[in-house]
Formats: sequence, structure tokens, C-alpha cells
Amino acid sequence: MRAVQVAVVGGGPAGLTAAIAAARSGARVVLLDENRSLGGQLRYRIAELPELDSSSNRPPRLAKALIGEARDAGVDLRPGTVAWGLFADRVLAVAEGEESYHLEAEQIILATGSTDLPVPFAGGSLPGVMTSRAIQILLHIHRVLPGRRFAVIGIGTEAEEVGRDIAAAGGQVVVRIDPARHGTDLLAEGDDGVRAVTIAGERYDVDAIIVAGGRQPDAQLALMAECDAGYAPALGGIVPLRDADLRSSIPGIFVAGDGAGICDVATAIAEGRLAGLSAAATLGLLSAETLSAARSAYSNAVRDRAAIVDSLHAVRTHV
Amino acid sequence: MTEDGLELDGRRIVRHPVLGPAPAAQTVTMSFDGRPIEALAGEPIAAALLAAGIRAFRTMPRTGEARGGYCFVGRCADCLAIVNGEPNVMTCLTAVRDGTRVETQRGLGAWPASGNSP
Repeated sequence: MRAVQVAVVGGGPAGLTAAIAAARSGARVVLLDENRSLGGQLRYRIAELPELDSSSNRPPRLAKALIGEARDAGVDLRPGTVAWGLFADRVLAVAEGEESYHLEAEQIILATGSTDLPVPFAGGSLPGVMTSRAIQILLHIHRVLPGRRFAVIGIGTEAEEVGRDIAAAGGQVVVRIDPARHGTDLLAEGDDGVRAVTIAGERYDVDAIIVAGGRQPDAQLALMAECDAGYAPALGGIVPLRDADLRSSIPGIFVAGDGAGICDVATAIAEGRLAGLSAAATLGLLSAETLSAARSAYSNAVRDRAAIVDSLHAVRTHV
Repeated sequence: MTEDGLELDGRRIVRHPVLGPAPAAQTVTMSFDGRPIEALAGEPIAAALLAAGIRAFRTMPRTGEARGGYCFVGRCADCLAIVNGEPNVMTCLTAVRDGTRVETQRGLGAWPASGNSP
């Protein structure tokens, strides 16, 4: 068994910010991320983030800055490391390279992010059908354009962003599909890969279909630890309940970012900061006044979110 | 190169209008069903296959339908294939090396004979 003061699970905007805040307060912090590189969604998104000001609204640059700050703050950064379990008494089960070990943490911050929601439709499992995150990873990390003529299933900002990403990389979005209106009369055809999509009787030749159906919080570790959870459609599904310091129902376990409910990057950063400071305060590294100021800063920055977080405690009785 | 700074080489984005030129990488040779394919060392096998125009990596055990990469983050298992003789390898998370042999996986795949425990 290994031990650390603060373990952060997830190296996206929430996790990195949480780790920085806790480490700067004087805590020994380790950050685990299953991917080979840190940054989470900031690794594969490139569109300017409208919720942030121009100094930090470019995802790749923001990732680089946060990783640099975390390193400078002394955070033990461990990409390529999967936290696959969270047991009682804040013991994480960790797989790192060829090694497997348990890590006992005095405070744990879960910043586990989200997973793309599938959209069911006939032919939806053909090769060439992939999630919006998959195409962003291919285009921006691996620099591969896997098709020429794309259909995008989804409406809203995520679908628009991925449509622009495809166009910037030389692909053509030939049809956009609203899954709420065309779920049942949507048909993808092909043999070893998608060749066409038919929607309401109209057929389009495409060689790729992108499913941008939204995201759901990755709350598995919190649920495994038996944190109380509630169902909140506005947050993307089942999420852990949290108090005003972003602490779950289990002492010493905090949750921040998409894993606590789908949010934008600015909110993820605000939550990461508060969760990191809350963990440090719990360790006695931060005064009550400083934490109180951080709590106010958070609820002022993301008023709607804070209200939803608060209202979830009432929802809980219904699940 | 187009006006906006995009440059493609087949399905490879050599230069991206926002990200700039692709990072330098060593070209290696892998194979798919015995056919040699050029790939970049360290990229996921699935990315190399898609860059080579190969979309179907395996077939379903009952229906025989083709499957390829869907999520690219190690969640869905659509991208499983036989890699260096071993079936059920997640190609979206497994890096290409020089000489990597990939074959279409038909159904569940057969584990290679081995005296080793898993």
C-alpha cells in the first residue's frame, strides 16, 4: 500500500486545477490520468472556448499552461495510470504500466470527466460511425482525416464545434441530423463501412457519421465508493451529491468538473480550484477565511451550477 | 496547401490550419492481413489503419457484421483486432511499432497456444 495526502483522479481542466490549488496550499499531491498525455478534453479540442477570456481560451495552450503550473507546484504527475477502483477508507486501486498497487489518500478529488452518449439508429454500429470525441482525437492528436463526406448526428454547440473541426481538416459535412426528430427514420448503410445515410427518405452518400449526442458524467468511482448520488438531467445523468465545498457524502472524497455533471471548461476550472482548496483546508493547510472566500468566488463564478448542485439534495429522495 | 493553411497527404493531415504542421514522426512498416502499410511509430494502430483507408477491423461472432473504431478512448471494444497473433487487442490504445502485424479478427478470436498465465 502506498500513501499520499491528496490524490487527484483525472488530468483534465478540473483535475489539473485541483492539483495545482492543493499543491500550492502545501499538500503532497499525486495526479493520475489513464491517458498517455495530460489535459483531458483540452488535448483534442481546438476551438476557442467562449466561456474563457482570450488569455486562456485556446485548449492546447491552456493544457500546456496548466500542466506547467502543476509541475511547478510540485504535483506528482502520472499519465498512463488507471485508477480502476475506489474502496472504503479512500483506497484507490491503481494500474500503472506493468504495475498494480493500492494508493491510500487522505483526500481524494475525483475529476474523471465524461463519456460520449450513444445515439441508437439502424446501421449505427458500422465502421465509419464514431463519436464526436473520436473524430476530434483522430483529427487533432493523430492528424488523420478518416473520411471525406460526413454526416453529423446531433444539434447544439458540440455538434457545431465538431462540424467546424471537420471542415477545417478538409472534410465536408453533407448533412446534419437532429436525433430527436429523426431517430427512427434514420438508416446508415454499407458493408465493411458506412457508404450512405438515409434520413426521412432522402439518401446521402457519406463515408463517415459522427455521433454528437452529448456526454454523460463518468461517476463510476464515486458510485463504487458509495457516495450518495442523484439523477439530474440538466447535469447529464447520475451524479454524486456534493456540499458547498464540493465534498461528496463520503468524508475526504471531492468531485469536480464533468464527472460531477456536464459543464463547460470555465466551470470545470472553478470547481477544480474549489475542490483543491477544500481538500487542503480539510488537511488543515488553509484557513477557514480563505476557504470561505474560495467558496464565494466559486458560487459567484458559476451561479447556476452552484444552484443545481444545491438542489440535487432534494432530488436525491426521488432516486 | 490551401489558402487557409491546410495540407493533406491522402488521409494524413500534414498541416492543420490551427495546429500547424504535424509533429515529426518516424515512418515504419506494419501489416494488415499480410499487406504492408506505412505507419507512424507510436501512433495507435487504429489511426494507422484509418489513414490507410481500412475501416473494418473485426467481424461480429454471430452476424458477421463488420466493426471498426467507434470511441477511440478504450471504452467500446469495436476496434479489437488480432495484433502479432493475439486476438482482442484494443487497437485505439495500442501503439504501432515497426513490423506490427495486424489481422482482421473474425468473431471472438482464438488465443495463441501459450504456457504462460495471463
